[in-house]
Amino acid sequence: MSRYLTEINSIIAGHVNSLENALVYGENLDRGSYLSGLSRNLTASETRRIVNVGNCEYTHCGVGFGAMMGGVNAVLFVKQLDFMLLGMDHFVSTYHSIRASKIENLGSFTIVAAVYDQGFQGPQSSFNALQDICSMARISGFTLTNSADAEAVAAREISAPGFRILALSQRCAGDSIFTPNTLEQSSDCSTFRYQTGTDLSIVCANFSLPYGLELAKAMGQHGLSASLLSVNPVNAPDWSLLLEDAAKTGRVLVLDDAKGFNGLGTAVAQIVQQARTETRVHLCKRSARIDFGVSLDAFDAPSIDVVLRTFGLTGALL
Amino acid sequence: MNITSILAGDLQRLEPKKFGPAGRMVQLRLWQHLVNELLKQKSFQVPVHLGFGTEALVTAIDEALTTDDELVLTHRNAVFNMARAESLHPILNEYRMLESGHGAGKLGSMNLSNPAGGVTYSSSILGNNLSVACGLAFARAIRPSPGIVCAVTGDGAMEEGAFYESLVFARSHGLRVLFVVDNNDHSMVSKIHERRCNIHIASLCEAVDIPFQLLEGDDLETYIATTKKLRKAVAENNSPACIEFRTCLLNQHAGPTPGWPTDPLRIDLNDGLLIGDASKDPIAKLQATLGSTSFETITCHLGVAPLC
Repeated sequence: MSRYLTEINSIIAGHVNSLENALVYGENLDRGSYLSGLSRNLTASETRRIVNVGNCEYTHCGVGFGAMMGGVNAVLFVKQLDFMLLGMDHFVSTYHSIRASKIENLGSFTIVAAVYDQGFQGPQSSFNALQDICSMARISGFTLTNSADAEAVAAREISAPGFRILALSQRCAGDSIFTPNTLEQSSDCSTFRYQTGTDLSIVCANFSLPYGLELAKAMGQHGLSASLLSVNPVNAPDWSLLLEDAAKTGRVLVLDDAKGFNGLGTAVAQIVQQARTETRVHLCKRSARIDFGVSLDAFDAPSIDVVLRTFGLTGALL
Repeated sequence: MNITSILAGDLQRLEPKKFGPAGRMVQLRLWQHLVNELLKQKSFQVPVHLGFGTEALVTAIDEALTTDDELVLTHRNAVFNMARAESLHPILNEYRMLESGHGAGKLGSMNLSNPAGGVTYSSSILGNNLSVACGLAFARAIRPSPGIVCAVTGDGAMEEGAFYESLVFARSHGLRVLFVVDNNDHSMVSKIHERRCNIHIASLCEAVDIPFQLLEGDDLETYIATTKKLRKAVAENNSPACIEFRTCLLNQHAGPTPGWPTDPLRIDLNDGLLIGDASKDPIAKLQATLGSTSFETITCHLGVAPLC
């Protein structure tokens, strides 16, 4: 079975290597560890340039938008999502201005960033909430948690006019990648469903899919069936697949391991509750709390016992 | 002076062959006056940052750039947009947020662009446009196309780290960017000495091996010749260059001038095209260079001769 990072790199590189009129760039992009493996296997061509650039992340983001306006497909590889906080002005202001303009032959701009949230990089490297960037800038982002999502998102997004951020988890780099047997998705890649059940809908936001997988497996072991879905912070999302599943099970557990106040998990829980008032919804959200000297921001995924109790489900261990 | 009757006209760009860059420069002054009068009447919802005093610089840029080139501007883009427009009306309509504006009423003043006139992007955020200009220039290298990108900034915006980053980025990757610094000694109401140390741009450019030229005095012929020379160098060498223009901003930071009843600055079309101290006004200097007869030929054609 493939390792997570190897497989994600292979999928992304495959799509980037098919781009024409492309600017593929990043710091230490084509040397050393290849951004810990993130940027391996990229190839240049007559119309596709692979460019190693200096340390000026704000400028990198502006360059991507300028190249996009000039009809080029720009792909920026970034070692850590944290670095993109320096580009917020461009995400918010520049892209908003571009969207308000009539630009002929608009190219694309894609940022591929790794998210570090294992907790041992130090207090300045703990940002993992892609959804917060997306919310502030009203842009689409995609957390790549498995091979099927990654392929679907890369195929749809990397050459599409406009801007988006693709994020992958360094925490999962060496894990075996989840390869779902079945996949249903909304057309905008806001929602993916990997299995369908009748007792509970498990909806995973940010990089919480591994926790959802464990719970879905445990549900099966208790003679219950769960739907397993993941959601992305997409601009103007199509939640029909999510709502259809919620209507079927009547119980929705939302997992969100993004650090921060509110966010995608909270929004999804609200949307389901408002649309399906009879549905029982429970949100398990990572704490946003940080005290001096003590980090209290660990994500405690609920155990199967807690889940069963919360939803009043009676399972029998098979 | 019947401003209403002037505004009712077609407000078309003066014929270049007949009136040349001097005619254009005077017309830019008139058009700014018209916008200023409309600002006084509160005709627009959007704030407009005029550039009275920058007409020589703007005309030089307009003359030096070719149809292959593109301009990337700041919030103070009004007079540049005027220089690249065939008529003033689409600009006025944009300020009125009408569909018939250059930005279909969606860009307003500080973000106004006009791709058909070569204005690709304008940013209301200081320093924001510089890296976007680098990206546009990179696109020209990847999809081989002639021409350069001219990125305008100011003495306030160049305090942002983005200025340094963009110089380094453009030089490192051989990008055809002409950086233009409009040094009007103002960041809103703070003069340079009131907010920071002096920045010797020539030394900064020398440090990253970028050709630099300082221009002051508003001599239109010199401005055009020097800008053309640097534009040519950028295009031929596939490498950036930088020009600093020392200008004197004659209007308030934004909105109409005067901006309030006791505002010491006074700009009124009924007083004529010229503004204040003739030694600081590029149009007054142009009048002295051209001579009264030539100058009046232009102003007559513009319908404002009796004022001068």
